[in-house]
Amino acid sequence: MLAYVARRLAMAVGTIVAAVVISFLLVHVSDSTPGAVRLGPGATEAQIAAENEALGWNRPLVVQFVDYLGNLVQGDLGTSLIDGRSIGADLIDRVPVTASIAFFATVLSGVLGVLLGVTAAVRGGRLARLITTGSGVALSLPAFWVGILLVYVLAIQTGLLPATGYVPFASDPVGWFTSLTIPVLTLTVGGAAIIARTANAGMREALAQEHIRTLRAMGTPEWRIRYVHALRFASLPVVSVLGIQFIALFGGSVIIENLFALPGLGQAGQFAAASSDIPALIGVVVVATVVVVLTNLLLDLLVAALDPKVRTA
Amino acid sequence: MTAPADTTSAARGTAATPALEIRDLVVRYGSGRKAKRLPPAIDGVGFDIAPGETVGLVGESGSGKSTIGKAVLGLHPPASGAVRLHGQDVTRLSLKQRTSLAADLRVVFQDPYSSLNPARTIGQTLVEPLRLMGVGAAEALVRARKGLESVGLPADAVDRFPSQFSGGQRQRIAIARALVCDPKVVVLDEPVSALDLSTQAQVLNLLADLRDEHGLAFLFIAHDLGVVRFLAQRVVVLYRGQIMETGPVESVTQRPRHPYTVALTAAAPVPRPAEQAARRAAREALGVGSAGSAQPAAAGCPFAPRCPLATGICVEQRPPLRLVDDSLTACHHAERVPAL
Amino acid sequence: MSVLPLDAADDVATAPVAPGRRRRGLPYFLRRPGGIFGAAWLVFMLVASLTAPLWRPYGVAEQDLGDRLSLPSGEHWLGTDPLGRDLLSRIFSAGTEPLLAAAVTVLVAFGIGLPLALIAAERGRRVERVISRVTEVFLALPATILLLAVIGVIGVRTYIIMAILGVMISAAVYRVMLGVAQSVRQRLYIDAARVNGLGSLRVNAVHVLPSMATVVAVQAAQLYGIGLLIVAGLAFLGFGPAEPEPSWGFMIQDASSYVFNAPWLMVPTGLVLALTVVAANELADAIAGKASIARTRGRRNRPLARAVAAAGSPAPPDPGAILEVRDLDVSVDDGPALVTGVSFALAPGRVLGLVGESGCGKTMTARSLMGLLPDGVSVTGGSILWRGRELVGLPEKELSAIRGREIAMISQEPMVALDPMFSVSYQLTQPLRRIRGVGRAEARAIAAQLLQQVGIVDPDRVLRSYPHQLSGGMAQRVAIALALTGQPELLIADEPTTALDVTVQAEILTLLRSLVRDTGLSVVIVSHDLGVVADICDDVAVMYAGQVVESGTAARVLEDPTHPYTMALLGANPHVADGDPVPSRLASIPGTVPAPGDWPTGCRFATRCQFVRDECTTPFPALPAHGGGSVLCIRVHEVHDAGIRWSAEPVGAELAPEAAIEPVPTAGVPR
Repeated sequence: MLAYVARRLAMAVGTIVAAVVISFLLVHVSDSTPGAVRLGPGATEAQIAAENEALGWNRPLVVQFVDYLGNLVQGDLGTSLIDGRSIGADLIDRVPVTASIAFFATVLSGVLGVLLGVTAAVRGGRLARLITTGSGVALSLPAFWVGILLVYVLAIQTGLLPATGYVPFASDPVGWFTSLTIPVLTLTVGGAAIIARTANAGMREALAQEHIRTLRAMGTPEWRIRYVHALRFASLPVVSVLGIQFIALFGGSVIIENLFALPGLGQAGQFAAASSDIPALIGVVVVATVVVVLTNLLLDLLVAALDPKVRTA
Repeated sequence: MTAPADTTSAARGTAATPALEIRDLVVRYGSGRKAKRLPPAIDGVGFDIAPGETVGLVGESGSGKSTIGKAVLGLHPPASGAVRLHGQDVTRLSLKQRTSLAADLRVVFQDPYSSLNPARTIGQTLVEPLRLMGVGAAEALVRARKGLESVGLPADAVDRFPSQFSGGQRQRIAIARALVCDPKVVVLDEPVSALDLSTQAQVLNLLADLRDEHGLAFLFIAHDLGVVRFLAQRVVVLYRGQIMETGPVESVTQRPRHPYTVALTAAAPVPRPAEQAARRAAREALGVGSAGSAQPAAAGCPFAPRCPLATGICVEQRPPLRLVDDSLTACHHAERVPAL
Repeated sequence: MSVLPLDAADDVATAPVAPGRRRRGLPYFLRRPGGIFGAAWLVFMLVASLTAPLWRPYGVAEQDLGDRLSLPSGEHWLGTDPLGRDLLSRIFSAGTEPLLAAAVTVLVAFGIGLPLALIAAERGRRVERVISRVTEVFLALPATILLLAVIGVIGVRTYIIMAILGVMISAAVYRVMLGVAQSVRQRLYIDAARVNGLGSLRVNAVHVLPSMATVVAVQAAQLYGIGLLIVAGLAFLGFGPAEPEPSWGFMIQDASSYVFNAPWLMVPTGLVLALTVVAANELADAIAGKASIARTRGRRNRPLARAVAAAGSPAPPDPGAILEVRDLDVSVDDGPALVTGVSFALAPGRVLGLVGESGCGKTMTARSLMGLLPDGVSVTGGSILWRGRELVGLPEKELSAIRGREIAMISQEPMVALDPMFSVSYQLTQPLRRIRGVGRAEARAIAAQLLQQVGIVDPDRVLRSYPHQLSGGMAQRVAIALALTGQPELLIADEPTTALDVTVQAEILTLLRSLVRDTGLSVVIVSHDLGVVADICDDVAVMYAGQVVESGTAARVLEDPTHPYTMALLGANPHVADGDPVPSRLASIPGTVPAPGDWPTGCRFATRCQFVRDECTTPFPALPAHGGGSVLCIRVHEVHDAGIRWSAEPVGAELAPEAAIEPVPTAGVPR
């Protein structure tokens, strides 16, 4: 078990390093330079070269990399080429926005998806077909389109919720809640569909297991067979898909933040990409990777807690 | 099974080269330092098969009997030792050399459901080895059809898929695939243990007929001594990757010289209640330890922790194979092994 | 836009397409509505998009400022956008890029992931570990954000960006494909091909890849749908073709600004995009063959054939029997009978063996005793009297009260009979507390005691273990201990030793025998092994094709078989009596057991019997035999009583082609 955790930790560190290396290399294989970005299209070649020299761009790659890593360990992600802000400080404010959307959407997807999937597996018949077909369609809808639809229904038609914008929790908890509701619901539509499919398949597989027949032969009550034994068996794939879901939502937040004008990580990524603000882009990648890696670690521990084969290995 | 055991062993003495020789075979699973520390799956096994002879390889799960089959077939490279087919070592061959040899060394696997590719017709399956040997497409098909007839199936089965056949019929097809290129040696890896009793008898009879007709040498891997006694002339009893006893099949099954062989023989039930009751009483009187017993000491006899005859020497020193009556046995106390 | 839901498709069947399903003409997935829709829509979209410049009514940039944001009309079938441009023309002109770019992602992802998976599956653990670790890192990278970084560096070059996405997703493809490739590689036909001398490349090309084709197609179709969403998503963010060139994503972005005053604008583009993704997913589902998966459950409570039972039992119950089965019929619902007219009785403390080859109905008979038949199979006639109480037709709730408490069961595969997620302690104490009503501590004490009773020397360690930590023999002992928790009077053992080694089998049989002796337990044991029956059974019922063909005490039936089938089974057994020479040929039975529904009228064994005569083809009743037993053979006097025995076929008999090969029904009987 200890070895398992150690291995996962090593993987986590390796992943973060890989993310830094990849984004670092990406920047250096391209023909754009930070000097050109900072000075804008009006600058001359000579000015750009001087600016690049001043930014340390011409130093050997390894030196720059070690430099960057050193700063990174101290929590310094550098400054934006566009407006000179501290990237770290900017992202720290943005992470909670993205994280709370992804977190609530994952939780809601999990609850709703498991409910639907298990119902379909246990009840069968027409209801199961309805759930399967419905989740198949929901899975295929583009989130940005669903978002617009929800805005139309929940904000424009009923006026219950604000269409876009973000209210920080500290300034107005109720406003914060209502500002997040439509984004979270939007992400939940597809998320719950995936979870419902996984839970349905997992539950049906679980109920077909030989040990379920042993339980029946022991006269075990049906509720216990379904909701203690089969559900526990089906929980493993559901948990791992939920983790993937969180990661995907976290990465996929760009679109939802764009649609709802939410000041999250994805929005920062979009701005940085649109303006070729390279240090900011690397910063977003690194921060997102750290969040993903932490989630994965948590997930691995959860799987270990659920699965005796992993726990006792 | 008409040839008496002693003539074959006599024949072995005079025959120039055995059909198959296995020498000091060691097979390990896994790689790296971790695997080195584990006891090998096969630990110094060696025996011969004469042309036309059937040698039964018997043991329980984990004994390594299928691993030997895989090593012989080149499916699992041995850590050391040699497997010689007509005097030529086949363990370290290139693909090309292996292909040229493939016609002489064939296999029938246990599970007739997974041993035939469900997406290919019987014809495609049977033709594959022939085409690799360089036989033309038309002639290969003719031979495939003949091969099917030789195992009691209609020739037009070439156009069908495996799913259209029962387990016993599939095993016949697998046998036809093994024999279609006129091999010298066939590895039979539990060829009947997935079959029902009456089908098992059909396949065993068929194998005996084909062997006698074509002079084939069989390495017959099985867990059931009764089945081995029917088909084999000699038998090798394996436990935890080591040979416990080997000799003519009648001696080993009727007068075993190793406590493990005794345990194995006594545990196989016979379908006659009175006789079985007596055997059961005899088995319980033996006092063989449960299969889940402690791990054996690396230096000693692997069977020692379960053996009712074990003494200090059995834990300290691995008994070498030695001749007792007709059989070679790896037991310090072979002379004290009780009769069945 | 979820990037990696590929794992959700792990449950896709890895079995290659059964040839039975590949009739000539259309592939099977095009015969399902979802598959037809999916394939047709994708083809339509592709053709319509590629040819859009030829047929579109307006140019993509053609503005009609007098007709902005209009609803569908005769002039603009799908309406117009804020600049008065025709939506129909723009939607289809925009289709080419996402449809092709998503294909690039799929090709790259599989181009990398699939070969890596094949290599890792072939080369063994070390190579597999290295590749898997690298892909794990890739999987943990936030793909969308990395994609943004790529755009920031190289600009908006959709096809290159989607190819890079393909590289990132190849890790997920590798993961799924590795599992499939490994399971294909375990099949013996791969080994057979290697023995043939087929090179590694050709083994993969001829045998491994085709067997993976279904999963590859399913995953590719799903990934294609995801790719479409990502292309559109990027365009939505402005990382798509520049205005006035149309793109689906940007058209939806546009619509989002006008959702207050022109909600229609979002409908056409969104619908086309959604339909295209739905089409890809439907195609995937159709290929996977799981479009109609909703199997009806909860049919266990259907009323059983009580009326038949009442009418068919004129004889008074056997007072000496604890269990009495009479004229039991078990059938597939709306299908053939699996068991007909089975009768037997079991006295307390005795062991009855149901013996026969596979497909003879012995397991169905045993399972019907507990009302645990598979879905779609039910008792359709006869009676099961348990201590004078009729079990046929009993409501599920009352059966449930009998299970575990009065009748318990152990099954063939001890390793899968225990729940892998719970400790042995939990699995034993839970029924102890429920059935015996004891507290937690006492339950644990009883559990340890039970384990000791089944011959486990270190019960405390085993109690703490999980099923995967036990050997097969140990697991079967635990399963027996579990069956004993409710102190049952009858144990049903379905092939309890078949999966075990002979020495372990002997230990388990000894254990069962001592339980019978010490606790007065009655046992019904299902076995195909006559040796096992000889070892442990007092009585035996030989089954063939859903019927009991011979019954009586084990001693008499096995020592002096009267039915030709029993004679043949005994003759086929190579374990000869001590001192006897091995026969040069074994007795065998030509052909195979006929499938349910194909049983001949009259004697069902007639088609394979050496002694068949005309009279065998008309129905006849069972005759008394072996004292209290029976035999179902009309010629018993002319054959058995005359001393005629089943003889082995002469040499060469196996070489004669079988008269006819009937296709074997593979999926006829649910198990």
